Amino acid sequence: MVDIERTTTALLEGLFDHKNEAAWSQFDARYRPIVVAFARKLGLSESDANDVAQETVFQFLKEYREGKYDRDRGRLRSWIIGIARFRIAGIYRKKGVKREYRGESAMVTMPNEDECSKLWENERRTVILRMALQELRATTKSHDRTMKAFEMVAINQVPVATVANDLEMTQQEVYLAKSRTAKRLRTIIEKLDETYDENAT
Amino acid sequence: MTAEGRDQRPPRPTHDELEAIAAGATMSSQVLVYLRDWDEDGSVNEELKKLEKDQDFLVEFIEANRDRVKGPAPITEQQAPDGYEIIRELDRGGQGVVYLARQLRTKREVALKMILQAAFTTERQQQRFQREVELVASMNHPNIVTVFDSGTTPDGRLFTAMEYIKGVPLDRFRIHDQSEDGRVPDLREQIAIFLKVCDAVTSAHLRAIIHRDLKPLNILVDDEGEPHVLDFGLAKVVGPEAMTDSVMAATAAGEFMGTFAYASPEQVSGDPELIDTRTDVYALGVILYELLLKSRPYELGGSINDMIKSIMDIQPIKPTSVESDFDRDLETILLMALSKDINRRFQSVRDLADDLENWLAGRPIMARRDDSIYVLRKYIRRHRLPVSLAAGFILLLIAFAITMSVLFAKVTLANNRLAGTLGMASEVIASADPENNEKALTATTAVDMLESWSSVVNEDLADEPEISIRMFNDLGESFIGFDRYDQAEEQLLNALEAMDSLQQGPSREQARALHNLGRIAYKRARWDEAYASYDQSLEMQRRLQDMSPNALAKTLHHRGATLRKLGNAPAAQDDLQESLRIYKTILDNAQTEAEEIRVLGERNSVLNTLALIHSVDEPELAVTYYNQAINELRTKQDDLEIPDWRIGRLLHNVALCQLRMGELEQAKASLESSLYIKEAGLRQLEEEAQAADNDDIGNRLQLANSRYAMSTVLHRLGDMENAWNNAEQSLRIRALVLDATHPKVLDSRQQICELMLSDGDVDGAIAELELLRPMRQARTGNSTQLATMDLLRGRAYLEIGEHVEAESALESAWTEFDRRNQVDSARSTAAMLAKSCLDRGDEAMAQVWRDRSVSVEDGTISDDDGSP
Repeated sequence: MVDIERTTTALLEGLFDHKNEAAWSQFDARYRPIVVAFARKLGLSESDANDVAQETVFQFLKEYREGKYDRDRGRLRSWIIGIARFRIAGIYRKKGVKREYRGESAMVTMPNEDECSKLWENERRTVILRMALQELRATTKSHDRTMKAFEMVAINQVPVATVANDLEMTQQEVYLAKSRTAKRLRTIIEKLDETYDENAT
Repeated sequence: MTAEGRDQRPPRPTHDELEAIAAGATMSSQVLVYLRDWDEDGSVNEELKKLEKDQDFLVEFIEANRDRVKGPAPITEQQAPDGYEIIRELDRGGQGVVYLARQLRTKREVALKMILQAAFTTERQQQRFQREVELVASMNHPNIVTVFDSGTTPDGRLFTAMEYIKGVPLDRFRIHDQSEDGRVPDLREQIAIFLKVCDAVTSAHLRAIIHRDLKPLNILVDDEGEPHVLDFGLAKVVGPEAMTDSVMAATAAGEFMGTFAYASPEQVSGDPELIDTRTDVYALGVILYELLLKSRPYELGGSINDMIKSIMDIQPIKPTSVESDFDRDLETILLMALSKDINRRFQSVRDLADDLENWLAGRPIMARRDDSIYVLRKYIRRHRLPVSLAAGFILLLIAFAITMSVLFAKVTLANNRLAGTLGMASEVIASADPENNEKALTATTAVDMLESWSSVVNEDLADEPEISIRMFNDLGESFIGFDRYDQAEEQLLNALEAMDSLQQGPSREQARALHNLGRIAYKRARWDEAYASYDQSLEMQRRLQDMSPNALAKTLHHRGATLRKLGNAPAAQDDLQESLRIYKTILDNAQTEAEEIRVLGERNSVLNTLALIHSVDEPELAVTYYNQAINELRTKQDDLEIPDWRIGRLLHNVALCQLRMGELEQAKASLESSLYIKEAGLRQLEEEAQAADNDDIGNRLQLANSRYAMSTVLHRLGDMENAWNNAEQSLRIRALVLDATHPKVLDSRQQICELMLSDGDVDGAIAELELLRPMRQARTGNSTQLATMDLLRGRAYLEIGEHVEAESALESAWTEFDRRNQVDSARSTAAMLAKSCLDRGDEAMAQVWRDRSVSVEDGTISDDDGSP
């Protein structure tokens, strides 16, 4: 679970400490899913993407502890993307060899830096939206009618009248539950966005 | 604010309404007016804005969490139209979901059909829908399901409320007897029920309402044995085109094959203009066939291409082949209803019904058999002339869309993440041509659509390799059809990669992808690459359990053609001969005439390639292959007056061989026949106006090739007047459709130079040749063509005694010929050089060249190769 109270800057400081398991696993929890999704979007299979993500996070940690990460080289995001791209290109190459073996062109084009960056941004957003749901669920009592009404109306698209009937609420209350929860979600997402401050150094 | 508006202050929109609008429902005019004129403090507008913002955010949120939450509610759980109460779901399929509902006002039970349609219902579509429903509601026939009401649900979907029939689909109806399940109606009983259906359809036709989607599922038979036809006219209004959206929607419920099975050739043609009441005749024909024979008139399956082709081309299996004692007259009636040619069908449902009644009463029937020659002629007419490319691919695209949605629908059942893609598919279809005739589907928009599909498949089927593989292959093949090789290659590689991930070993689809990669390489003139792909495809096919002989023969043919390009004639011959043998076996076991014709066409193409291998070195042998090909085509051609373009091409090639053998008169005769066929074919295309411009260009260029060859032959025969004529005609066609420096245009202009030379206009010829040379060089660099031109230039300079110019031109020609090992041309050039040296008294040099020379021969004409 992502600790939304901890900014990335704080996290990075913790990473220097070899014994700081918490910082390490927190960092992993934050970035690995994005790298996986990113690699998937670039055409890798599920297992390849997982491998790439694991290697990327490790490599980052290694380089970071070796002090190779300096703010002049760019933002955290570009650094991770750089590592991931290199790994993905390696997999492409392996595939390319297989292609050549089949008598086909080995050329596979990797998106350029800008495109990668955009892709990353999209995947990050998705990961955050997903985490937001986890966070919302984790911080809500399971019998909370507001949450239930929200899930039914907004997520499962059950007609308001039915929800009201099922949960013994008025339709007005159902609408209110929906907009309240949407607002809460938005706050969580903003918070998550901050913790993912990739300008951190 | 108008005075009138003030008088009719609309109610303040409820939160409910605003929510629906924010979620994408159409705004009613009342709400519109309120928001515009009556929202004095702006609070409603503000509320709506806030809801829309929430909505946008939530859509994104739900999208990201799709696999973590229960998928979106099925359409069933959404709102019922005002004034109705849903009792339960009756059926799901066709164009939507059908509920048993209660109309609150009348308390009667109705069947409420909610049209499954993505969010692209425009105001105009709604109006059209209303109009059509009103028209249908005006019908009053005991065998037509009455429509009571229609409209739009609060969330913007269309619905109709109609009479609720307790019945079963026509093909499942059984007659009550002592047994528990009842019994299947006998032939006469089936026809009697069917006649009532015909009567209902006729009554609709009299009001100019065409059903367009007749099928057993749309005909419910109640306990009394009374049929009730559903959904009149719905196919037309639900989608912009009968066979696109309605089928699309049907596919969502997995009824794709069911619906397609009753579609007529004109429906799959993609041109809604062609659909009329006779379209319903065809569907009724399929229905009756199925009722009486318990099988369909033709199998639909295989790739999308196959399916469309089947509907367009495959003649129904004769009922007597299914049941040998089936009544011959009844067979005739069925086959006439199922005629592919709309003009050969019963011209109305009434006619069909009348003839069935004739049959029941034992009277002579009116239907006449389509004699096989007629059928064949129609078939050949369509296939001998290259068919319009655009038309064919529109079908392909529509069918592709359909298959996509079917496959997506299948996946969706198991995987909620893909739920949204069906809507996206509809959008692509809708964007192709909702109501906009201006934006007809051209090759460009077709490619755009293919590209959209590609991204859908790529992005949403990444985890479904079993499905995506075929889609990738289909896409690849389609892109090849549009000459988009890069895109085609990408798709085929995707297919292979997806197969890699499955690790299931060799498969048909893998062999198919490799074959198509070979085609791309061939088209790009990368022979080695093409060979490698074909070779792998073949190797794979031979290891397959369920190998397709057709595919094998085809790949062998292509590999053979590639080997020819690689200069390996013996290996090429082996492949081509094997391909011929396989086709022969297929031919011997062919079930239908259409299949015979198709296989003969394939053999024809192989024989042509085989002949081409020999056309230069052993023209006699080549001619025997060509003749075999021509004879095979002619066995299937009873009416010699109809031109078969392929024979025209073969005769052209025969003429070239004859020219090489020095049989000038025979060459002339062959070319005359070839020209006759090609010109007649072009005239016919013009008459039928079925050729898209691009095809026409291809055909015209082939005509120009023959004119060009004819000119050469006549020139040799000394018939200068006609040689000029043909050369000029050839040039005219080529100059019109090709750019000014195209090699073929230059060939023609060069041919005219030769004629000028023969006519003694040496200066004119030289001036023209000097003009042409740089163009040729710029276009092709040093080449045989350039050498041939230099040879001609040398000849011309020689005529006027310009030895320096002549020898310089001839030497460069000789060098090129020699380098390319073109012995004959090199020799004749050397002979001319020898003559020049002799003319100016250089005996020693003359001897050098004489040694290198033998006889003079011409070899500048290109064969018409039927390359795959």
